[in-house]
Amino acid sequence: MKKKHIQNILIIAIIVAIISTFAYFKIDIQSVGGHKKLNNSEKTIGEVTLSINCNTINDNYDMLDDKLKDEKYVPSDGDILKEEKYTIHNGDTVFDILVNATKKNDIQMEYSGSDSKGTQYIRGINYLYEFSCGKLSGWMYKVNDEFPGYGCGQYKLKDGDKIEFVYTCDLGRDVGDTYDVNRNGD
Amino acid sequence: MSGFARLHPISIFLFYIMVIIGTVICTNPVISIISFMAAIIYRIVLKKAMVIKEILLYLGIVVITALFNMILSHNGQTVLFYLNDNRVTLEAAVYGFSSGIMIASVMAWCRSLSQDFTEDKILYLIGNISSDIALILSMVMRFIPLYKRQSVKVSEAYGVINDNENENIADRLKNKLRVYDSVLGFAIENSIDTADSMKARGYGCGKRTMFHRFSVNKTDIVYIVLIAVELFIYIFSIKNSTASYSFYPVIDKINMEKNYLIFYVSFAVMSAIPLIEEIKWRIKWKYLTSAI
Repeated sequence: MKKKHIQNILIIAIIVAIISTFAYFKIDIQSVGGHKKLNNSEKTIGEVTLSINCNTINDNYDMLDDKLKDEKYVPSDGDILKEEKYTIHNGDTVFDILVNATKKNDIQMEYSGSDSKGTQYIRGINYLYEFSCGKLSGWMYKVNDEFPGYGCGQYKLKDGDKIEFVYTCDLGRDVGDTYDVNRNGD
Repeated sequence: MSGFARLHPISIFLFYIMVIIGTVICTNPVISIISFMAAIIYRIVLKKAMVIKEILLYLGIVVITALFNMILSHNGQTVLFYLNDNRVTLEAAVYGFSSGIMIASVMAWCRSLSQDFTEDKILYLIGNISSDIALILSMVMRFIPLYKRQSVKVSEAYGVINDNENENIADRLKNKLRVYDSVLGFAIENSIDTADSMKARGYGCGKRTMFHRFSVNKTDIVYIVLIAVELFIYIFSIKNSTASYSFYPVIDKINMEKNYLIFYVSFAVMSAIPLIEEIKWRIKWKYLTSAI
């Protein structure tokens, strides 16, 4: 009886230890007020600007979900975040700056994909999600007025870059992306 | 046999199809809760105290679904706290809770389905279309309790051989694997035996007939009409977007206007059919025994 008990307790203790070490290193719970602190320990290599805009929704307002038809979610000028300056550190990607900006301004943002592989996909900003305004809608980003065409977690920034996150209602055609025209020319 | 199981197979089948699909399609938490309550009360009336473990399982499912949705979904306006820089919101929790209730109620309905909808009813319903499919279905349904019983037998036999006292988790796992191994062997052997036996009795020569005692009564017709009316109201409500409900970015208010109330009440009446039938049979039984 005793041997059995000791072995069971040992196994449970090991499992609890593994879970708690995982929790200690991986899980970070913050209160509503305390999450805005940014990590500024590394050396900066320059400044970039970022803006978030959803003006295309105002042109397709009838396609928008009924619950999102509110000045809170879709501002009349489309600016969710006006152009703002951010310092960048070595190796910062567009995604890192977006995370910093949404944290600092307390804007809701959800993404899916892996942080370590840099395959993040922005599902929604400020409660406006993919498919919220028609079947061809979602978030895209441009850097210096060009659409890179790959994930924002892989775009390494340099000094003076101008990042714009724009909401499209037509697969990028209404915000000036010309990837399909270029494809046809190939 | 429950009172509901005495009905004609077609009305039982229609009821379960309607209640399960109706629960799954609609995200409205009112419908989920009505369905869950109806299913649980029916289980309690049927099984009494034996159902407590089952209810604990359902509650566990609800809590786990709510937790998972809180971790995985970051939509919603009311922020509770931040987890690894992601919002954990009240809306996500409520959505998880509601869908957990939906899953649990479907599980509860499926449990009573397997109790009310026995093999002879499956054979009766599908036998007219294809006797082969009906036979396979009823055999598959039988395999689950059969293997359960066999695994109990095998593990009891192992228990005699082994010293149960000094078992730890690793030993127990090893024993479980051995039991699984021998039940697998039994399953293969059993299927070959069954096939041989069926062949020896002349399976597949000539057309097969079937004996059954099912007949459509007045109550069956009443219930089938009730289910049809509910189906009509349900489809109408979905078209009317009365049934639609969304949790993001803010939880919808639960509407209590006339057409919403019709939708809820009709679903509640429909999902109470087995309960009504069971209570009706119990009263009838009491009346009959008191007359003796």
